[in-house]
Amino acid sequence: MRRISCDERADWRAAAEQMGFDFHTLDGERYWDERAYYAFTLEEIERDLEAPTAELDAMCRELVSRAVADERMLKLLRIPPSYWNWLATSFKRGDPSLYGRFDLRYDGSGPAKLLEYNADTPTAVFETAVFQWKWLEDAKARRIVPKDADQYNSLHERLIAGWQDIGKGRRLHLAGMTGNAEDLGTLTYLEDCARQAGLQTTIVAMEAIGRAPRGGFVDMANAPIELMFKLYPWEWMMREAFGSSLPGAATQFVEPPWKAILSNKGILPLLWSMFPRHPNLLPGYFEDDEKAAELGSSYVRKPLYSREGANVELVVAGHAVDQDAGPYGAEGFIRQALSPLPQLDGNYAVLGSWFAAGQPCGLSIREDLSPITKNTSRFLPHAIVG
Amino acid sequence: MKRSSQVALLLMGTAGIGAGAYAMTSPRTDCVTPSTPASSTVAPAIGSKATTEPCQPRRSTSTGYHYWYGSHWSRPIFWRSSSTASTTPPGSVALTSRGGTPSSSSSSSSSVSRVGFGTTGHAMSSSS
Repeated sequence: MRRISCDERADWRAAAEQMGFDFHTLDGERYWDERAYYAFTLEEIERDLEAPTAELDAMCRELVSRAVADERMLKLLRIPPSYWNWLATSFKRGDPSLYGRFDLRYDGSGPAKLLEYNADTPTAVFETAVFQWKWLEDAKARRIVPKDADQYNSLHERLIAGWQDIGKGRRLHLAGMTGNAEDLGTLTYLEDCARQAGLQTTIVAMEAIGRAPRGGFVDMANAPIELMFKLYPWEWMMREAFGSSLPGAATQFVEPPWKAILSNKGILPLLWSMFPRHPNLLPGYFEDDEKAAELGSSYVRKPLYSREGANVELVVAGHAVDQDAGPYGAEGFIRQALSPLPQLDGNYAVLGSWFAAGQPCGLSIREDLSPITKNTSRFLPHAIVG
Repeated sequence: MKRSSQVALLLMGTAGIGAGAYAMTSPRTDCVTPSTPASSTVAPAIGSKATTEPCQPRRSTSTGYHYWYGSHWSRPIFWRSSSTASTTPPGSVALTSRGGTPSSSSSSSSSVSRVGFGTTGHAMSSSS
């Protein structure tokens, strides 16, 4: 794993915008950054990233299978009891998942370590699946990478395959915060994949979802929502006004309700307790667990519910050396062993390993000058060059 | 290389992403297209080396605004598509149906309540 500086395309911004990638720059700062790329060997990809991703997914499903039968685990995850049966039914029924992203700490040596699992609302999907691939094609033409360079990336195809399996030709409603450019971009890209899979589609703002008198959800035309992709956290939906109607609704959701169990930093200590000393896990404990003291005075403190690094705190020798502000933390925290991100050319890098339609299928890399990856952290492309 | 085979699948996968022209590869001609409805738009020519292998979706050709979409050429869907989007700016939620008459299975618009989801997201947006 190497970070290789390279020239950026003079017209990449125009290319991005032409493709609908409007959020390549956030708050005046680069989000897409092709002034360098990460180079991997095939062995690094297959042995250290792809295989562990499949194993982590299997471990997470094992966790869910235990959690739905053990209310102590659901309590630890602070999932409201009124949803427990609903989550259990969803899992036992086999409600399908479309995708997820495991964020890993990896530096090219030793096993990748799970930092967190974006199981419910992973983003960076378009730039991973499409614009990164476009970069590779151009990089080959510009001789930035060898002609036979490759990329760990079949995410686009997996998403289409996933929609084919899930949708079965039905109408799909895609719901989210449509006033947010990144969220709308993600919704629109997934809509594209769904259309290619043969589904009819409708994008709907979260606040525009209607509830009929009998509790079913409807769109703006008051048509029933049979199948809904929602780019909106389960923990928010459960606590909002229509949340009480979720268990009784006929709507099939993607991601499915059981993913609410995994979209929670509490799975990190639960996985560690289920699979102690697993090479792809870091020691982790709930903050109020006396075993947390085993981590000593250096650790990472994470809220159970958090997005994009918000409210994450790095504690070294008892002192917080870095933290990202945010609105999370009311439900409690976990502590995870400190495993600093690799620093390459002054940049901290975290790897996002994608899992879609039942397979590991792609890689995204985020960089930051800070050791905590945030929503403003830059996205860099990668290539397999050996 | 294993990844090359995956990329081959990727290269044969539909991209057609974007309203612009993205020539990822040249058109594939060694495959057989299923019969194309007369109403379909331009179908790609079949090369003389056609095999019985069905054409797979693939990335767009230099014609840009069209891409190979299974058995027919299609306009790209992605981005500002012609979907039946019913997005509504925050604070301006329409409480009645939009875009035509509700289907027979639709609920009465007067009895449907809204703005029951999205409040946390808007609160997060306004606080960030």
